[in-house]
Amino acid sequence: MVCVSLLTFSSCEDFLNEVKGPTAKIESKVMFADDVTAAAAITGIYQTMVDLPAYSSGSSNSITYLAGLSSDELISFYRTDVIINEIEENKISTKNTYILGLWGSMYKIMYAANAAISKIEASTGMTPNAKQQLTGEALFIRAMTHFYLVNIFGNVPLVTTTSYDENSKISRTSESQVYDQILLDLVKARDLMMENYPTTERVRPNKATASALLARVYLYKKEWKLAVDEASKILDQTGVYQLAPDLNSVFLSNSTEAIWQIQPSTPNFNTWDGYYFVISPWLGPMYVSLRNEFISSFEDDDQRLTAWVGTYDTGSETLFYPFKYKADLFAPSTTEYSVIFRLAEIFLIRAEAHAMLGNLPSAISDIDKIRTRAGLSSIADTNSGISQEALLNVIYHERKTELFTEWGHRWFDLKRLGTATAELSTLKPNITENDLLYPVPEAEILRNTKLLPQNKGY
Amino acid sequence: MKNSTDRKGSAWKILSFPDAYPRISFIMKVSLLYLILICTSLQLIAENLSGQDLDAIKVTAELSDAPVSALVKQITEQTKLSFAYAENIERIKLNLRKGTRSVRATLDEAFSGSGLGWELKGNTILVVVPAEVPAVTPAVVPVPEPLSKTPNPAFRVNGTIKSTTGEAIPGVNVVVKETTRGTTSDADGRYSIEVDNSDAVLVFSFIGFKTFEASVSNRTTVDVTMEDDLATLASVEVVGTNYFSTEKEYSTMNISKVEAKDIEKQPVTSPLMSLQGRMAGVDVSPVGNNGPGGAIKILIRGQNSLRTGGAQGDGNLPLYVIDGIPIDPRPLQSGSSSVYQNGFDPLSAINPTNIESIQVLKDAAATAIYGSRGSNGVVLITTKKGGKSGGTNIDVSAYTGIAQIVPRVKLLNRNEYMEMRHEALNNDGVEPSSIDHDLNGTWDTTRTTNWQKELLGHTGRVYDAQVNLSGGGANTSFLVGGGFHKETSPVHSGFGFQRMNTQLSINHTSSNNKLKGFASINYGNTKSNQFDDANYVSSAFRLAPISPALHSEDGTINWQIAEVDGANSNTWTNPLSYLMRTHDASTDNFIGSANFSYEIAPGLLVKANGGITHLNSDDLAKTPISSRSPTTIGATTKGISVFGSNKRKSWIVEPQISYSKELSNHKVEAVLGTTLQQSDYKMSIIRGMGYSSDALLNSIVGATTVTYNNDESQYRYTSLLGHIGYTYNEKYLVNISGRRDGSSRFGPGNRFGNFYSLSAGWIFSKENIITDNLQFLSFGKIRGSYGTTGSDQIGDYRFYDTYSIYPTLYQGSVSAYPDAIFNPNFAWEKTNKLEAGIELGAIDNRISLEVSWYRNRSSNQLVDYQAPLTTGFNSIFRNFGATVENTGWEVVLNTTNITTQRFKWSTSFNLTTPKNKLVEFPDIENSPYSLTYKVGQPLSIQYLYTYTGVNPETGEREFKDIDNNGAYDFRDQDLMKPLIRNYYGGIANTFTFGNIEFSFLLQFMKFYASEFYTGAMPGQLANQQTDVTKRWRKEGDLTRTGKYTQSQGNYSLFLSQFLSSDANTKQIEFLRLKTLSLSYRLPFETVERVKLRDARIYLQGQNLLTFSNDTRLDPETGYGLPPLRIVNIGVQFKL
Repeated sequence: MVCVSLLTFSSCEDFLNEVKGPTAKIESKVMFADDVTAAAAITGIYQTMVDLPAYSSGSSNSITYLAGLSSDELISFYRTDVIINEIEENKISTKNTYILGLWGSMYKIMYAANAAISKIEASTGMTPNAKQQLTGEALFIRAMTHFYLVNIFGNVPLVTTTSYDENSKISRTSESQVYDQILLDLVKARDLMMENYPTTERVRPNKATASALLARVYLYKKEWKLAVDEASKILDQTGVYQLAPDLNSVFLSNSTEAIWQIQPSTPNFNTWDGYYFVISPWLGPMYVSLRNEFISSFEDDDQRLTAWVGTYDTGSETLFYPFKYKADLFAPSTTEYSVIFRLAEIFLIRAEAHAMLGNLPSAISDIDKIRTRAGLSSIADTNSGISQEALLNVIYHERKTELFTEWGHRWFDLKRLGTATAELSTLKPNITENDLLYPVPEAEILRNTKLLPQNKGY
Repeated sequence: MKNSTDRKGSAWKILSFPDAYPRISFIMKVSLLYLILICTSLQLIAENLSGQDLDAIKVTAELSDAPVSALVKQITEQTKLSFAYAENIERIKLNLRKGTRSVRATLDEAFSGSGLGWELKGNTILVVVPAEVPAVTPAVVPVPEPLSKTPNPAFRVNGTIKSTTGEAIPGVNVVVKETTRGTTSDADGRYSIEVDNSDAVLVFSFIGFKTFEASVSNRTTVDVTMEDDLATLASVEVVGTNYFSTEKEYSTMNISKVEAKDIEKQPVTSPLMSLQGRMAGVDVSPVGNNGPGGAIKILIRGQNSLRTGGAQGDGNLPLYVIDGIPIDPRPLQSGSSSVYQNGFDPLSAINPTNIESIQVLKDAAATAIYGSRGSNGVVLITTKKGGKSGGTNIDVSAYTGIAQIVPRVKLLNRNEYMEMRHEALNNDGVEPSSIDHDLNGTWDTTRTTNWQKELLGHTGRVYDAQVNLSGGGANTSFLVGGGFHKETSPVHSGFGFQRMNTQLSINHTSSNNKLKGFASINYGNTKSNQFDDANYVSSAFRLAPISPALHSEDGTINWQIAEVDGANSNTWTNPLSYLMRTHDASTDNFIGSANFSYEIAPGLLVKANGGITHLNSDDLAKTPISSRSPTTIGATTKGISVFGSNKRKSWIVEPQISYSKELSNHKVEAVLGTTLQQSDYKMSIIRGMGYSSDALLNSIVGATTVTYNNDESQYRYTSLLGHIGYTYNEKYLVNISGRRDGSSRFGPGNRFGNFYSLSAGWIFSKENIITDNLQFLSFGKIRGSYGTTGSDQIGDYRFYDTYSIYPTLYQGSVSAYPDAIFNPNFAWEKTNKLEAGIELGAIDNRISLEVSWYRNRSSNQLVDYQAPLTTGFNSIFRNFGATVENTGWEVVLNTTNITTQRFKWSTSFNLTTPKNKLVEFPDIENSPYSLTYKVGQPLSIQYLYTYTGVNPETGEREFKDIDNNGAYDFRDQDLMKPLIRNYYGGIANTFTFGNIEFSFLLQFMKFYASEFYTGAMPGQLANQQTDVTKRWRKEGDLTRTGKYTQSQGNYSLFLSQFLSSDANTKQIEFLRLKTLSLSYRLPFETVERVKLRDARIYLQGQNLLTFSNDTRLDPETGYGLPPLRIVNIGVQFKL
């Protein structure tokens, strides 16, 4: 007996020290000891992002879905789901569990990104190149997550460490300061990341991905010149990125238009967007459909109305649903990836920024790329003398019809352009400015009262 | 020799010498505790003292050519054992080296070489002359022949001695009057004695019976029936840990014990369920929806830990020890999402029928020796062991019965239901919609089904059998046994549970009594198949009375398909579909233990205990395609199978040294030992999806998509432990225990923790002032203890900073995610336990009362401390600064109400009033718990809205709006209701009338409960309890029951406000007839005719009646699968 030597208790200490360490899990010092495992910690973030109930999953907890309901895109068929109805009616309870899930998933992803940033920095076994790329990816994820937080909740906790002590008592930072950090992270990420994608597909961010978000942030911050320049960095790479000529191939896994897409986490699965939006002929309407008013806002010969909108006949009426993603979740093979950034948005960003700067021909040139692909007449051909204001309205409308049910574009546009309450009031007579921000979940306030005050109206 | 005023000589000690009983027979008529007549005690069911106890009780004795009476005197002065022997063996001289030994060792050694043997009968040690050794013959022991008074030749007289109940009485002294010639009856009550003349008178004497004289009168056969002397014997209850134990009288610990005779009265599947209502301070409850073999919830003296959730992390589990081997109390994880979601019972392999005793250790004095593992109490299970020397016994026990769910929820009938629905739509001002199938003509409204009866009203069957073979010789004894248990579900006969168990134990003592060895093996295998969807049970309350038929006319499952909004759709979820989701599980549970001891010097023993356990479980949860309506089967919905597997292995080695010494009035006992333990755990869950056919569901490769999840860990544990017990003058008792534990679950630097206890007792009834002035007081002791215990039940590897690997690849490579917020700095949590108790016995212990007060304070607890999600996780594992206090009173009262020759009635009562309080929580305002807990209140506090009733104008439910802002959130939830136990307990009564025994146990409890609504709002398409008919109907109605409504808006309010208000919380009281048992022992003649040694038949009932103000299916399990009503008939016999 090792321990019978009662006097020397140190032998018992040895007995404990010799216990087998975790084998089904990986210690973090091992995780960041070399390039391969460190990359696994980063790709793990993408898996988390595409899994339920992440804000980026396309599921009923995602920004795409919830912001679609909050704006004028979607209407719920899930009659018994009170929580979803609250969002559709813009009367959200602070107890709403979807909002809590949205908030929680963003900070969960933030933790993984912050952990990676600090551990890569401390790593001695990784190569400098890998350190740069992976740090860039993590910074990019942090910036993107803060971007969605600030656009949904307004002032939010700015989380840049994994420290429990800090983050459990954190208070909210003003929107502008959050944006400052987003810009800081994005510029750094852009500079660190490679031009090429780290793997054969476009499922990990590269330099262009950082530029894409940077261009969007500049647009939101009305930094028109910077937005044009940043967008051009992508649009100039015509050998890499082209608008897919066929609308039906935009969301495929091999789309030439994709700047960044994420791969479904389960083999042979497709996207949750497809699962939640497509009304199955067997099941009938289960979740949401596009509002009739939204459909009628399309120009008549817009091919997106046929390529990207599906119809379902209930017998008494026709329902329309987003059909950008066509594959069933359980289709025999994976054909579609969830697209986060794509070239069409970059054209729209540059068009809007040019228009704002008064470079109308450049703006027209960009917007026509989108219009002609959709089978619509080009502005250059039909209305080359268009006024700045009218051109901007064309661009805003194109954003609505091009980017619908993707990543809350419509909801964010209504908000940043200040037209939300006016445009939505016909559908939602009781909507007020206060409804444009989601409430901080009550459960979070209960655990950290420093998150008070709550957003106005809640 | 004691006189009758000596407490020690009275009921606690009953008898020492045959010549003592004339003097104390009066006292004996009114004796306390378990009053078991020595020879009416059926060894099979009522053996008060086990062989193990004889090993535990220590005596100091010395004999030098002394008679048996000298040995008896020495032993009875130190214990409460009693002896019986024939006077004629007094001539045999015994020798024994002075020393302190166990009773068994003392007897074995004293009798070795004397030709005498001994066996334990009830509480009495019978000194016998083994039949094969004709010891009492003149050749061995010269018996002086008296002068014959008559010239008649000597002849032999034979006969059988029986009690009035017809049982043979072994060990009776048979003496020829006025001579010294005598003998004793053998195991079958037969004797044979030589008499000198036909006028001789035989004197039959035996403890507990009136001495009887019979004249031979020329007969050669003299059969006698001896009458009970009403001399009843108190049992010597031995309590203790597996490191040391003591007689309850001299114990300073708080330990509750339930023995085989009470365990056997209840046809329970889990051993723990037999404790329900029988022990103060021990709160055992079934987990709703857990099938048989599922984990049982046990809380000993309240919730100490805030860590309540999950298979890995419940900090309130006690330590289980089976035959000295610790068993990991965590339930074995199940792959099921429903029926076994709380996991499998790690004790499921033990057949309750095969348990000798269960002890629950509660206070610091008892649990500190288990150190880091004892903070939530210790459950010690002792399985049955081999018989004593001589003979081979076969014990057979079998029962069969029926099990039912008692439907007790009062639900609306069809008319009331339809009225509710019409009124709801009317109130809401809407017409039936496309999904109001009960109103829009889709369903046949003339149908009516009592769903409670239809779904739950079936009958299950229970079968159980256990056969034990035991026996042995002077040095070796053994037990071999096997059992079988099977029960079918009262929901559907296709579901059920079965268990097979075997056990083997061997005990050996060397002929010089110095070396002893014991080994036992318990192996059990369980198989269960259950439905894997708890919605089945709630369907019984939620389905509308007019819901469609279960089966279509062609016998297939009826989905009642109709066109809804343009698509064919099933208009209801047929509850049979829940039954088609199945869960099959099997567990294998092996426990092997061995221990050795060697006496190297008098009183000094070197011991080693060791053991191995293996617990494995495999399960498969299936969701077949056929459990889905054809209208929902598309490309997206296919079959799913989840394959779960758990393996737990452990070994333990505990070398020890023990020493005991007695010097005049001082008695010291000491134990010093170490523990080395290792556990290995492996788990895997394989999830197969996309099955295209139900026939493939048992195969992993049949799935189109497979995901894996596995975990593996090792745990090591070591400690140094010590115990010293000191007794002065048999009145003053002091015990000290200490332990230094190391656990691999803590990070380097935090691995070791020290735990200790100090306890003392004073048997004041032995003081002269008491004996002289308070004669009615037969026993009195006060005791107290204080100590610390701890817990390392936190799961392995939590101090590591780890990443888990995703089950699927990303871009063909692995990917991983962080597991938790990294915190390497947590340390041992500790619970301080304080206890005071008084034990009283009055009227010769016919009334015995034990009152205990305890206070457990846990601080520095390890918890998954709630964290705002901004930290990345919803909790962090760390020590928690708050102090949680559990206090309570425990009262145990045992009385012997009536005891006459033919009739006996005894009662046993226990009551516990637990209180839980958050004593201290520094800076609670700035913690995540500021609105969850409140200092001074129980942990189970709930903040609720105050329901103010129904607005007489509108019929809407209204709540107190504290901040008057028209909105309801946490600021309006200021009503605090604690979900606590106010009190709980049980009353057991046992009536014995001749061969008939009747007993029953009532369990009672008062507590707060929530969740009185099944989730549906009155007015929606779901049935309701009848009390909703008291609803608001029209303006001006004054009622507390809201109007019928079915609108989404109202439902939203119903969920968020009403269910979070005091209207959904209730003070519940229940009284349950937990157990009822009627048994009949066959008369001796009948038994003998069929060549049996003993036989008993019985009828038992479990959960027969429940009286409660609770309107749910069961007060303990709410709307889940309730405790079953079981009625069974059984038989026990002995070959």
